[in-house]
Amino acid sequence: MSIHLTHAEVVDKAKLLPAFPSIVTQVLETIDDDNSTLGELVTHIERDPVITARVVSLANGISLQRRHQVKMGDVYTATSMIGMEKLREVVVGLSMAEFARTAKLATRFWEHSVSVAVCAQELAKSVGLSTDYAFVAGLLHDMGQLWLSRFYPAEFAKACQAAEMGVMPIVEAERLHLGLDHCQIGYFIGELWGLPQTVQDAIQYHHHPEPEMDTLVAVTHVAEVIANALNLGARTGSQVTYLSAPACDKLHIDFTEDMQHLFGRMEARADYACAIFRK
Amino acid sequence: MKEKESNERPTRLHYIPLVQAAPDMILGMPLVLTEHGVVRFNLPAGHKLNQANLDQIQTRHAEIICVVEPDVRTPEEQEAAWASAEKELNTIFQLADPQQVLIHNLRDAVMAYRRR
Repeated sequence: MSIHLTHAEVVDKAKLLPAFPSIVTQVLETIDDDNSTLGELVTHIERDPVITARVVSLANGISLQRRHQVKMGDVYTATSMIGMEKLREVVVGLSMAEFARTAKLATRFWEHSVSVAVCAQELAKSVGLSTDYAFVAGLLHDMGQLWLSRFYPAEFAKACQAAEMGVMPIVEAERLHLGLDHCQIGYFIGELWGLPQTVQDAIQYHHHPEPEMDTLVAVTHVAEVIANALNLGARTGSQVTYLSAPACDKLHIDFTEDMQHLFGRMEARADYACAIFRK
Repeated sequence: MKEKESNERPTRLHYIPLVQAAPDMILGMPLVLTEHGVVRFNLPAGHKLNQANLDQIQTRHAEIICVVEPDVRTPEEQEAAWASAEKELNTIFQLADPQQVLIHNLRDAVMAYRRR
Protein backbone atom coordinates (compact mmCIF):
# COMPACT_ATOMS: atom_id res chain seq x y z
CA MET A 1 0.00 0.00 0.00
CA SER A 2 1.33 3.43 -0.94
CA ILE A 3 2.05 6.11 1.67
CA HIS A 4 0.70 9.66 1.23
CA LEU A 5 3.11 11.96 3.04
CA THR A 6 2.10 15.48 4.04
CA HIS A 7 3.99 18.65 4.94
CA ALA A 8 2.87 18.31 8.58
CA GLU A 9 4.19 14.77 8.89
CA VAL A 10 7.52 15.68 7.29
CA VAL A 11 8.01 18.61 9.68
CA ASP A 12 6.91 16.65 12.77
CA LYS A 13 9.22 13.75 12.04
CA ALA A 14 12.12 16.04 11.05
CA LYS A 15 12.15 17.21 14.66
CA LEU A 16 13.14 13.64 15.59
CA LEU A 17 16.29 13.86 13.47
CA PRO A 18 19.56 14.75 15.25
CA ALA A 19 19.84 18.50 15.89
CA PHE A 20 21.02 20.33 12.78
CA PRO A 21 24.56 21.59 13.54
CA SER A 22 24.14 25.22 14.58
CA ILE A 23 27.71 25.91 13.47
CA VAL A 24 26.63 25.41 9.84
CA THR A 25 24.03 28.18 10.15
CA GLN A 26 26.59 30.42 11.88
CA VAL A 27 29.19 29.77 9.19
CA LEU A 28 26.59 30.50 6.48
CA GLU A 29 25.88 33.85 8.16
CA THR A 30 29.55 34.81 7.85
CA ILE A 31 29.57 34.27 4.06
CA ASP A 32 27.81 37.51 3.19
CA ASP A 33 29.16 39.50 6.12
CA ASP A 34 32.09 41.62 4.92
CA ASN A 35 32.91 42.48 8.52
CA SER A 36 33.27 38.87 9.65
CA THR A 37 36.77 37.94 10.74
CA LEU A 38 38.78 34.80 11.13
CA GLY A 39 38.52 35.32 14.89
CA GLU A 40 34.71 35.11 14.75
CA LEU A 41 34.85 31.96 12.67
CA VAL A 42 37.34 30.37 15.05
CA THR A 43 35.11 31.36 17.99
CA HIS A 44 32.19 29.52 16.36
CA ILE A 45 34.38 26.48 15.76
CA GLU A 46 35.71 26.42 19.32
CA ARG A 47 32.16 26.22 20.70
CA ASP A 48 31.91 22.76 19.17
CA PRO A 49 34.50 20.45 20.75
CA VAL A 50 33.95 17.65 18.22
CA ILE A 51 34.51 19.95 15.25
CA THR A 52 37.47 21.64 16.97
CA ALA A 53 39.11 18.26 17.48
CA ARG A 54 38.46 17.23 13.88
CA VAL A 55 39.79 20.50 12.40
CA VAL A 56 43.00 20.21 14.43
CA SER A 57 43.29 16.50 13.59
CA LEU A 58 42.78 17.20 9.89
CA ALA A 59 45.45 19.92 9.93
CA ASN A 60 47.90 17.59 11.70
CA GLY A 61 47.16 14.89 9.13
CA ILE A 62 47.92 17.29 6.28
CA SER A 63 51.06 18.43 8.09
CA LEU A 64 52.30 14.84 8.41
CA GLN A 65 51.52 14.03 4.78
CA ARG A 66 53.43 17.13 3.72
CA ARG A 67 56.45 16.13 5.80
CA HIS A 68 56.13 19.07 8.21
CA GLN A 69 57.28 18.46 11.76
CA VAL A 70 55.02 21.01 13.46
CA LYS A 71 52.35 19.58 15.77
CA MET A 72 49.28 21.82 15.91
CA GLY A 73 47.16 21.99 19.03
CA ASP A 74 44.80 24.90 18.44
CA VAL A 75 42.35 26.06 15.80
CA TYR A 76 44.28 29.25 14.92
CA THR A 77 47.44 27.31 14.03
CA ALA A 78 45.41 24.63 12.29
CA THR A 79 43.77 27.34 10.17
CA SER A 80 47.16 28.45 8.89
CA MET A 81 47.69 24.92 7.55
CA ILE A 82 44.20 24.51 6.08
CA GLY A 83 43.87 28.07 4.75
CA MET A 84 41.12 30.60 5.51
CA GLU A 85 39.35 30.01 2.20
CA LYS A 86 39.14 26.29 2.88
CA LEU A 87 38.20 26.61 6.55
CA ARG A 88 34.49 27.29 5.98
CA GLU A 89 34.26 24.36 3.58
CA VAL A 90 36.07 22.05 5.99
CA VAL A 91 33.97 23.12 8.98
CA VAL A 92 30.67 22.75 7.10
CA GLY A 93 31.79 19.42 5.63
CA LEU A 94 32.98 18.01 8.94
CA SER A 95 29.83 19.23 10.74
CA MET A 96 27.58 17.63 8.16
CA ALA A 97 29.68 14.44 8.23
CA GLU A 98 29.11 14.24 12.00
CA PHE A 99 25.42 14.92 11.42
CA ALA A 100 25.25 12.16 8.77
CA ARG A 101 26.96 9.74 11.15
CA THR A 102 24.58 10.58 14.02
CA ALA A 103 21.60 10.29 11.68
CA LYS A 104 22.98 6.93 10.43
CA LEU A 105 22.92 8.12 6.83
CA ALA A 106 24.20 5.42 4.47
CA THR A 107 27.72 6.07 3.19
CA ARG A 108 26.67 6.06 -0.44
CA PHE A 109 24.16 8.90 0.09
CA TRP A 110 26.68 10.95 2.02
CA GLU A 111 29.50 10.44 -0.50
CA HIS A 112 27.14 11.38 -3.33
CA SER A 113 26.35 14.63 -1.48
CA VAL A 114 30.04 15.39 -0.95
CA SER A 115 30.72 14.75 -4.65
CA VAL A 116 27.89 17.05 -5.75
CA ALA A 117 29.17 19.71 -3.32
CA VAL A 118 32.65 19.59 -4.90
CA CYS A 119 31.25 19.64 -8.46
CA ALA A 120 29.00 22.58 -7.51
CA GLN A 121 32.01 24.49 -6.22
CA GLU A 122 33.91 23.95 -9.46
CA LEU A 123 30.91 25.15 -11.49
CA ALA A 124 30.33 28.11 -9.16
CA LYS A 125 33.92 29.26 -9.68
CA SER A 126 33.26 29.46 -13.40
CA VAL A 127 30.24 31.77 -12.99
CA GLY A 128 31.52 33.91 -10.12
CA LEU A 129 29.03 32.56 -7.57
CA SER A 130 29.92 32.04 -3.90
CA THR A 131 31.60 28.65 -3.69
CA ASP A 132 30.53 28.41 -0.04
CA TYR A 133 26.82 28.47 -0.92
CA ALA A 134 27.45 26.02 -3.76
CA PHE A 135 29.23 23.62 -1.41
CA VAL A 136 26.45 23.81 1.19
CA ALA A 137 23.68 23.39 -1.41
CA GLY A 138 25.51 20.37 -2.81
CA LEU A 139 25.90 18.82 0.62
CA LEU A 140 22.24 19.36 1.54
CA HIS A 141 20.47 18.84 -1.80
CA ASP A 142 19.40 15.27 -0.98
CA MET A 143 18.48 15.92 2.66
CA GLY A 144 14.99 14.66 1.81
CA GLN A 145 16.47 11.22 1.16
CA LEU A 146 17.98 11.21 4.66
CA TRP A 147 14.46 11.79 6.02
CA LEU A 148 12.97 9.05 3.81
CA SER A 149 15.66 6.49 4.68
CA ARG A 150 15.17 7.22 8.37
CA PHE A 151 11.37 7.16 8.61
CA TYR A 152 10.22 5.01 5.66
CA PRO A 153 13.20 2.75 4.92
CA ALA A 154 11.20 -0.06 3.24
CA GLU A 155 9.24 2.20 0.87
CA PHE A 156 12.34 4.28 0.14
CA ALA A 157 14.31 1.10 -0.65
CA LYS A 158 11.59 0.11 -3.14
CA ALA A 159 11.84 3.53 -4.81
CA CYS A 160 15.66 3.30 -5.00
CA GLN A 161 15.44 -0.20 -6.44
CA ALA A 162 13.01 0.96 -9.15
CA ALA A 163 15.41 3.77 -10.09
CA GLU A 164 18.52 1.59 -10.04
CA MET A 165 16.83 -1.04 -12.22
CA GLY A 166 15.92 1.63 -14.74
CA VAL A 167 12.14 1.33 -14.22
CA MET A 168 11.63 5.05 -13.55
CA PRO A 169 13.52 8.13 -12.29
CA ILE A 170 13.99 8.31 -8.50
CA VAL A 171 11.67 11.30 -7.99
CA GLU A 172 8.82 9.53 -9.80
CA ALA A 173 9.43 6.34 -7.83
CA GLU A 174 9.39 8.28 -4.53
CA ARG A 175 6.12 10.01 -5.45
CA LEU A 176 4.61 6.65 -6.43
CA HIS A 177 5.58 4.88 -3.19
CA LEU A 178 5.45 7.79 -0.72
CA GLY A 179 3.34 10.58 -2.21
CA LEU A 180 6.15 13.17 -2.03
CA ASP A 181 9.66 13.17 -3.52
CA HIS A 182 12.92 13.98 -1.72
CA CYS A 183 13.09 17.46 -3.30
CA GLN A 184 9.82 18.53 -1.69
CA ILE A 185 10.71 16.86 1.61
CA GLY A 186 14.16 18.46 1.60
CA TYR A 187 12.59 21.86 1.00
CA PHE A 188 10.28 21.44 4.01
CA ILE A 189 13.28 20.46 6.18
CA GLY A 190 15.37 23.39 4.90
CA GLU A 191 12.52 25.73 5.79
CA LEU A 192 12.31 24.21 9.28
CA TRP A 193 16.08 24.56 9.78
CA GLY A 194 16.07 28.17 8.61
CA LEU A 195 18.48 27.64 5.72
CA PRO A 196 18.98 30.61 3.36
CA GLN A 197 16.17 30.86 0.75
CA THR A 198 18.65 30.34 -2.10
CA VAL A 199 19.76 27.02 -0.57
CA GLN A 200 16.12 25.99 0.00
CA ASP A 201 15.38 26.68 -3.68
CA ALA A 202 18.41 24.65 -4.76
CA ILE A 203 17.14 21.71 -2.69
CA GLN A 204 13.58 21.99 -4.04
CA TYR A 205 14.36 22.42 -7.73
CA HIS A 206 17.63 20.52 -8.21
CA HIS A 207 15.97 17.78 -10.29
CA HIS A 208 13.79 20.07 -12.42
CA PRO A 209 14.92 23.70 -12.43
CA GLU A 210 12.30 26.22 -13.53
CA PRO A 211 13.14 28.61 -16.41
CA GLU A 212 13.49 31.63 -14.07
CA MET A 213 15.79 29.77 -11.70
CA ASP A 214 18.33 31.23 -9.29
CA THR A 215 21.94 30.58 -10.36
CA LEU A 216 22.48 28.32 -7.33
CA VAL A 217 19.62 26.08 -8.53
CA ALA A 218 21.31 25.76 -11.93
CA VAL A 219 24.68 25.05 -10.32
CA THR A 220 23.24 22.35 -8.04
CA HIS A 221 21.26 20.70 -10.86
CA VAL A 222 24.15 20.57 -13.34
CA ALA A 223 26.63 19.57 -10.60
CA GLU A 224 24.47 16.58 -9.63
CA VAL A 225 24.06 15.50 -13.26
CA ILE A 226 27.84 15.66 -13.82
CA ALA A 227 28.57 13.85 -10.52
CA ASN A 228 26.21 11.07 -11.62
CA ALA A 229 27.59 10.96 -15.17
CA LEU A 230 31.12 10.58 -13.75
CA ASN A 231 29.81 8.07 -11.18
CA LEU A 232 31.53 9.97 -8.34
CA GLY A 233 31.30 9.11 -4.65
CA ALA A 234 30.34 5.61 -3.59
CA ARG A 235 30.10 4.66 -7.29
CA THR A 236 26.91 2.66 -7.15
CA GLY A 237 23.46 3.30 -8.60
CA SER A 238 24.30 6.61 -10.35
CA GLN A 239 21.65 7.63 -12.90
CA VAL A 240 21.40 10.50 -15.36
CA THR A 241 17.76 11.00 -16.35
CA TYR A 242 17.44 14.66 -17.33
CA LEU A 243 19.63 17.69 -18.01
CA SER A 244 18.00 21.13 -18.05
CA ALA A 245 18.83 23.27 -21.10
CA PRO A 246 17.97 26.55 -19.30
CA ALA A 247 20.30 25.55 -16.43
CA CYS A 248 23.18 24.88 -18.86
CA ASP A 249 22.43 28.19 -20.62
CA LYS A 250 22.46 30.01 -17.30
CA LEU A 251 25.95 28.65 -16.56
CA HIS A 252 27.16 28.99 -20.18
CA ILE A 253 28.29 25.37 -20.08
CA ASP A 254 28.72 23.60 -23.41
CA PHE A 255 29.53 19.88 -23.29
CA THR A 256 30.84 19.89 -26.86
CA GLU A 257 33.85 21.82 -25.55
CA ASP A 258 36.83 20.01 -24.00
CA MET A 259 35.70 18.92 -20.53
CA GLN A 260 38.79 16.94 -19.53
CA HIS A 261 40.15 19.56 -17.14
CA LEU A 262 36.81 20.35 -15.47
CA PHE A 263 35.98 16.65 -15.11
CA GLY A 264 39.54 15.88 -13.97
CA ARG A 265 39.39 18.51 -11.21
CA MET A 266 35.93 17.36 -10.13
CA GLU A 267 36.93 13.70 -9.95
CA ALA A 268 40.20 14.31 -8.07
CA ARG A 269 38.58 16.71 -5.59
CA ALA A 270 35.55 14.45 -5.01
CA ASP A 271 37.76 11.42 -4.31
CA TYR A 272 39.90 13.44 -1.93
CA ALA A 273 36.94 15.07 -0.14
CA CYS A 274 35.15 11.72 0.31
CA ALA A 275 38.35 10.28 1.82
CA ILE A 276 38.69 13.22 4.23
CA PHE A 277 35.09 13.12 5.44
CA ARG A 278 35.10 9.29 5.59
CA LYS A 279 37.73 9.32 8.39
CA MET B 1 43.67 12.37 -21.09
CA LYS B 2 46.28 10.97 -23.46
CA GLU B 3 49.20 13.05 -24.69
CA LYS B 4 52.45 12.41 -26.53
CA GLU B 5 55.86 13.34 -25.19
CA SER B 6 58.58 14.42 -27.62
CA ASN B 7 59.92 10.83 -27.74
CA GLU B 8 56.40 9.61 -28.64
CA ARG B 9 56.06 7.62 -25.42
CA PRO B 10 52.33 7.73 -24.54
CA THR B 11 51.44 9.78 -21.49
CA ARG B 12 48.25 10.80 -19.69
CA LEU B 13 47.22 13.91 -17.80
CA HIS B 14 46.06 13.17 -14.28
CA TYR B 15 44.67 15.46 -11.59
CA ILE B 16 45.87 14.40 -8.13
CA PRO B 17 45.48 15.77 -4.59
CA LEU B 18 48.53 17.77 -3.54
CA VAL B 19 49.21 15.29 -0.73
CA GLN B 20 49.96 12.67 -3.42
CA ALA B 21 52.38 14.94 -5.30
CA ALA B 22 56.09 14.06 -5.17
CA PRO B 23 59.37 15.52 -6.43
CA ASP B 24 60.18 14.73 -10.09
CA MET B 25 56.52 14.69 -11.14
CA ILE B 26 55.90 16.77 -14.28
CA LEU B 27 53.18 19.42 -14.35
CA GLY B 28 50.61 18.70 -17.06
CA MET B 29 48.99 22.12 -16.86
CA PRO B 30 50.31 25.52 -15.78
CA LEU B 31 49.89 25.99 -12.03
CA VAL B 32 48.68 29.50 -11.23
CA LEU B 33 47.82 30.29 -7.61
CA THR B 34 46.12 33.57 -6.81
CA GLU B 35 45.33 35.35 -3.59
CA HIS B 36 42.63 38.06 -3.58
CA GLY B 37 42.83 38.08 -7.38
CA VAL B 38 46.61 38.59 -7.46
CA VAL B 39 48.86 35.89 -8.94
CA ARG B 40 51.17 34.75 -6.14
CA PHE B 41 52.68 31.63 -7.67
CA ASN B 42 53.10 30.42 -11.22
CA LEU B 43 54.73 27.32 -12.74
CA PRO B 44 54.51 26.34 -16.43
CA ALA B 45 53.27 23.05 -17.90
CA GLY B 46 56.19 20.64 -18.30
CA HIS B 47 57.93 21.87 -15.14
CA LYS B 48 59.56 19.10 -13.08
CA LEU B 49 58.50 19.56 -9.47
CA ASN B 50 61.06 19.62 -6.67
CA GLN B 51 60.60 19.62 -2.90
CA ALA B 52 60.98 23.39 -2.69
CA ASN B 53 58.15 23.81 -5.25
CA LEU B 54 55.93 21.44 -3.27
CA ASP B 55 56.62 23.35 -0.05
CA GLN B 56 55.76 26.64 -1.80
CA ILE B 57 52.58 25.19 -3.28
CA GLN B 58 51.38 23.77 0.02
CA THR B 59 51.86 27.05 1.86
CA ARG B 60 49.50 28.58 -0.73
CA HIS B 61 46.85 25.91 0.01
CA ALA B 62 46.49 24.35 -3.44
CA GLU B 63 44.33 21.23 -3.22
CA ILE B 64 44.98 19.47 -6.52
CA ILE B 65 47.52 19.66 -9.34
CA CYS B 66 47.61 18.24 -12.86
CA VAL B 67 50.59 15.99 -13.67
CA VAL B 68 51.74 14.05 -16.74
CA GLU B 69 52.14 10.34 -16.19
CA PRO B 70 53.38 7.59 -18.52
CA ASP B 71 50.53 5.46 -19.87
CA VAL B 72 51.83 1.95 -19.23
CA ARG B 73 48.70 0.16 -20.46
CA THR B 74 48.89 -2.19 -23.42
CA PRO B 75 46.47 -1.54 -26.33
CA GLU B 76 44.41 -4.51 -25.10
CA GLU B 77 44.21 -3.06 -21.60
CA GLN B 78 43.15 0.30 -23.04
CA GLU B 79 40.40 -1.34 -25.11
CA ALA B 80 39.19 -3.24 -22.05
CA ALA B 81 39.13 -0.05 -19.96
CA TRP B 82 37.16 1.83 -22.65
CA ALA B 83 34.69 -1.05 -23.04
CA SER B 84 34.17 -1.07 -19.28
CA ALA B 85 33.59 2.71 -19.29
CA GLU B 86 31.10 2.37 -22.17
CA LYS B 87 29.18 -0.31 -20.29
CA GLU B 88 29.10 1.82 -17.14
CA LEU B 89 27.78 4.81 -19.12
CA ASN B 90 25.06 2.67 -20.70
CA THR B 91 23.79 1.84 -17.20
CA ILE B 92 24.08 5.42 -15.92
CA PHE B 93 22.22 6.88 -18.94
CA GLN B 94 19.64 4.09 -19.35
CA LEU B 95 16.72 6.34 -18.32
CA ALA B 96 17.88 9.44 -20.18
CA ASP B 97 16.43 10.49 -23.53
CA PRO B 98 19.23 9.83 -26.05
CA GLN B 99 17.48 12.16 -28.52
CA GLN B 100 18.05 15.12 -26.21
CA VAL B 101 21.09 16.92 -27.64
CA LEU B 102 22.40 17.97 -24.22
CA ILE B 103 22.27 14.40 -22.90
CA HIS B 104 24.01 13.15 -26.03
CA ASN B 105 26.74 15.78 -25.67
CA LEU B 106 27.25 15.10 -21.98
CA ARG B 107 27.56 11.35 -22.58
CA ASP B 108 30.08 11.96 -25.37
CA ALA B 109 32.06 14.35 -23.15
CA VAL B 110 32.29 11.77 -20.35
CA MET B 111 33.32 9.02 -22.80
CA ALA B 112 35.97 11.31 -24.33
CA TYR B 113 37.26 11.99 -20.81
CA ARG B 114 37.40 8.26 -20.03
CA ARG B 115 39.24 7.49 -23.28
CA ARG B 116 42.07 9.90 -22.51
